[in-house]
Amino acid sequence: MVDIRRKNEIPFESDTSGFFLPLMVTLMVFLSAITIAGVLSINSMLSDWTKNIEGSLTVQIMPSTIKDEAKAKQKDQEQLEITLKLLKNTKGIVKATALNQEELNDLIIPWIGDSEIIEDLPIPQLIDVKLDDRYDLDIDKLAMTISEQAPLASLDSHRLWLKRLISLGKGIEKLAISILLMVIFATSVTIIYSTRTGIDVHKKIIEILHLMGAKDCYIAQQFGRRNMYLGLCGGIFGLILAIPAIASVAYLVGNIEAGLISEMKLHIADWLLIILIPIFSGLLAMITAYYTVKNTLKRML
Amino acid sequence: MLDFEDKPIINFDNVGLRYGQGPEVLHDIKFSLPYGSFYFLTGHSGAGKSSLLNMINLSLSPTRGKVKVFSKDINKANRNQLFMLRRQIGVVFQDFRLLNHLSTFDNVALPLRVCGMGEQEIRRRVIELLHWVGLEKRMNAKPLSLSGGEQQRVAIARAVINRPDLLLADEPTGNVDSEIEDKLMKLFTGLNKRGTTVIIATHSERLIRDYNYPRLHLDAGKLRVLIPLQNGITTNLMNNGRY
Repeated sequence: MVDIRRKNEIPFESDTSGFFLPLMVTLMVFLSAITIAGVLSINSMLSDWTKNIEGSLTVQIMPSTIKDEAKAKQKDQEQLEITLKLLKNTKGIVKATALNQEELNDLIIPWIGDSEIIEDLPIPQLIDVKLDDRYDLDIDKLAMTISEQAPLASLDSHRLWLKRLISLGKGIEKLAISILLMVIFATSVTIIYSTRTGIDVHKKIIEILHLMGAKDCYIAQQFGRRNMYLGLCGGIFGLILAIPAIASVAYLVGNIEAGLISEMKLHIADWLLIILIPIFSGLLAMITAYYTVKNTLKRML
Repeated sequence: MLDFEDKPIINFDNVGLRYGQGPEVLHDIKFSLPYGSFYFLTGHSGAGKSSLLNMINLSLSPTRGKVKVFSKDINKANRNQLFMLRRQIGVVFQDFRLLNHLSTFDNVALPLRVCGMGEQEIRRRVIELLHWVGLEKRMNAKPLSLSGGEQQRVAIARAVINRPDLLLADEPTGNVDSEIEDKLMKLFTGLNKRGTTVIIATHSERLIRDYNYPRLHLDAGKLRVLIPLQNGITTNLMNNGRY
């Protein structure tokens, strides 16, 4: 019986690329998966921060400077009532709630501790305002109206703070994308050198194939197919290592329990993208090897 | 007198060859071979036989002069044209150059796969040819497990599997006894009768004597075309580059 199963004409199993390339791709995919997970989480966090902050406003009413305590309290109360009335009558505002003393203390205690001096401090009154997302409220106009009707009140839209936060997030995101591009570049260079080594190792066989009339693309396809397989295998191993690492980081972030750092969230689409990395690594290995072989063989007769 | 066609299969015009900065190993080579001819290529070791064959099979470019194979100037052919021309040339190498990791079947099938032929047709052709060269029972054997003679037959089968227009063989009968030598010569003459141009590089005086074919004789890098007369006597057809 004739064994006619098609075999590679180039004996790749005899060179070291079968070990070296998947190992490199494993490392690169591990780094890429973690970086991509980081970028997607930062995106998700930025989106959460924006959503939470954009839907709310804070109005701050500074304590009156009148020396008579009773008159000062009365003045503060008047300012609060005017502001609340104004806010409640403004279209686009769903809810305006003044924070009570206990809530104000909760905000301050983490900074100065639970001591009696809090009661002696001139603490501003705060009004938490919830906005209607469907309505485009003119914040600048509202701020002007508030300061006209209640001079001690001022509106804090969080915009400056939000801008800086988003800018920081985007900076980190760009850095992560740069790292990702560097990883892709390093992987490509590794594949190029590994392929060139492969060409040197199998030079005699390539010469024979050329003498039989094999075109460069015929030989390049064999290298491409081989590298696709190695890139895919390396990619799958890298992913297998990366998933527990991502889950561990997500768990540690979740344990911080800080309001600002929301839980590390990856949606189904994000996981899908991460799972597709090995396919990308396989394609990258195949395409890089294919063109490396074609370019290198041009110099052979 | 040889009747050279208007468009010979091989045409060398004042060809010179040197390796790197070394001395010229072939000088002023000038000859034309018609389609369907059969030639022996003779000369002492180091006379330049392999270099000449390598130029004909397009794996070596001349340092000077013009080489035309299938009427195509190889200095002007692009890579893909060279590969297409090579598919019309079968080569039996002196050292066989078989792929040791492939079976006899896969080695012989190689030129057909390179051309993109379907596996069923490949199977049919390869099995038929391996029967013909007596290797049907060694189809799955790897070259290293074959004898020298068997390896040589695999190399010959690989060279002729795609029915080339031009067959070049470098010492194809060097490792075989006279019985197999005759069998192989029968194969080559059979192919020649079907229209394949054959050039065999050989040292075998018996072959040259028994098979009355013209010779391309290389001596110190210069080529002479020797035409056999009756009784095994040859005459020099080319003198100072003129036919």
